[in-house]
Amino acid sequence: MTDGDVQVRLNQVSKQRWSVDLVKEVYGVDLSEKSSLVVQFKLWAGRYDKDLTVIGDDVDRWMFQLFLQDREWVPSTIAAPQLGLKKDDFENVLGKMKEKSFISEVEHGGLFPSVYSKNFINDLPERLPSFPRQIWASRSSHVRAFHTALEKDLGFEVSLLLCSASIRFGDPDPEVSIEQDIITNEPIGLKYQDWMNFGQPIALKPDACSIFTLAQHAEVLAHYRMSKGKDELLERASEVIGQGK
Amino acid sequence: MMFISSGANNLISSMNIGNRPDGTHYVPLVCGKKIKEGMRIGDEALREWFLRCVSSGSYSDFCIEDNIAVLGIKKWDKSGLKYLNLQALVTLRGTIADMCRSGENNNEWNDKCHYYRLEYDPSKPGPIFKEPLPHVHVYPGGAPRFQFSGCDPKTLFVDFIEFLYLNYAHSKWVGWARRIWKQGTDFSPCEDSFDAVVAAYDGGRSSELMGRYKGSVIDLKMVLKKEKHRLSAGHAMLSDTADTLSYR
Repeated sequence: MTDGDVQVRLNQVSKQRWSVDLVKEVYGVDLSEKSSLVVQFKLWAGRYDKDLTVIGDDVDRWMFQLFLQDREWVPSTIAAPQLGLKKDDFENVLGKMKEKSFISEVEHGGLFPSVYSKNFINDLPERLPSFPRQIWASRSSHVRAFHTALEKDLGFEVSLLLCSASIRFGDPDPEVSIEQDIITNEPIGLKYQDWMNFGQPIALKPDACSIFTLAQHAEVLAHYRMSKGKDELLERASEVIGQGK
Repeated sequence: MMFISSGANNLISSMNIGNRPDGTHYVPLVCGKKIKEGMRIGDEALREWFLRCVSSGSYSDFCIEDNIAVLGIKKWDKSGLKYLNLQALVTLRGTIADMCRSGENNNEWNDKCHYYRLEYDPSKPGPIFKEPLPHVHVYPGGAPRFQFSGCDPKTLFVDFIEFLYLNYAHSKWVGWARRIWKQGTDFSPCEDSFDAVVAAYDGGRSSELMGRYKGSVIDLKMVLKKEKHRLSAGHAMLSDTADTLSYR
């Protein structure tokens, strides 16, 4: 991506109102139709501000995210990387788990298309018979164990979604992803991400980008950084970029 | 509002002394072990000790979680808590049930478990400042004794159970904290920063926690403390002796 591309992306994602297409790209849900999710979203928003048009030609993205958070719902595009999965693999895993009756048909279908309860996603590893019941030292080890259990219980291997920055740094045991870089859509873990300040409400976890995205487009992104710091990591990332890796 | 889980909630409720001016209370009630009978002795294997203690009941009576069991004894009188000995066993790999049913050698489980004993005995202060009141053992007897720090004299028992959850069932603790936060505050969804604070901790975002979320962190601690006081109503409190005799 060039600095120009990043600026274009920033112009889109930093705004409170997003196009329906951008919502679909980031959250994986289609808000263009009058689905029951759209109806519920409007009803929910109306409780707080009757005059607010949360969906029209575009969508109040912050209100939508607050709505999901308040209901403790999570769309598949957010849930998948939390389990170290690509979105397509996540859907395949749910399908296979339903075939084996590890989850019910209702659970498989979600609360709405591509929207699940947060508890269901959190409990998913526990549904696999061979998933070990133990105290996990880290999130990465928990997700790795989930993938091992998937292979054993469902009989198919899915690729573990690793943090792109951790791979570029050449970490011997790369960190597992947790979310997507809001600028590049690359998978990122907790360690190598930086938070963006788009003026979102305090209730929302800020969007994140990879330390490499930040190092590569430092000038464009400087204004949006939530806080300074991570200088050592940024220097390391710049070195790696300089080496053409 | 229920404490973290039904197991923990039952345990906390059972610690209520009601209007009784003095007495002895076993945790759980079926345990009924005298102090010395229930103590882990010397290099006794954790599994061996636990099975010895549950002989009078079912291991499930001792479990507050699949992987956490608690047993002990407390004594109180009009002046407050006289004695407390709470032992906790945590299985790191597998569950308490797995351990009990396992055919493995007793010692095999020593590496898969953690052991804690919370002790409070103001009648035996020990050598000067060596045995803080209350303190926690991680081995059957003797050193080291960690001061159970930061605890409120009114909420010792709840604090200890919370300590176990914070370390060994953290996601359940987060769920409880979220419920208490939602119940104890009337923020609109735009202002309700609980999930963002959790994410900031998960991501190691110290600067945001000390800036953007500082007020929320302070509020959260206050709300949880208030709830722990509510849960501890009816529990025997630590006496002033603990404060005077301990090195803190």
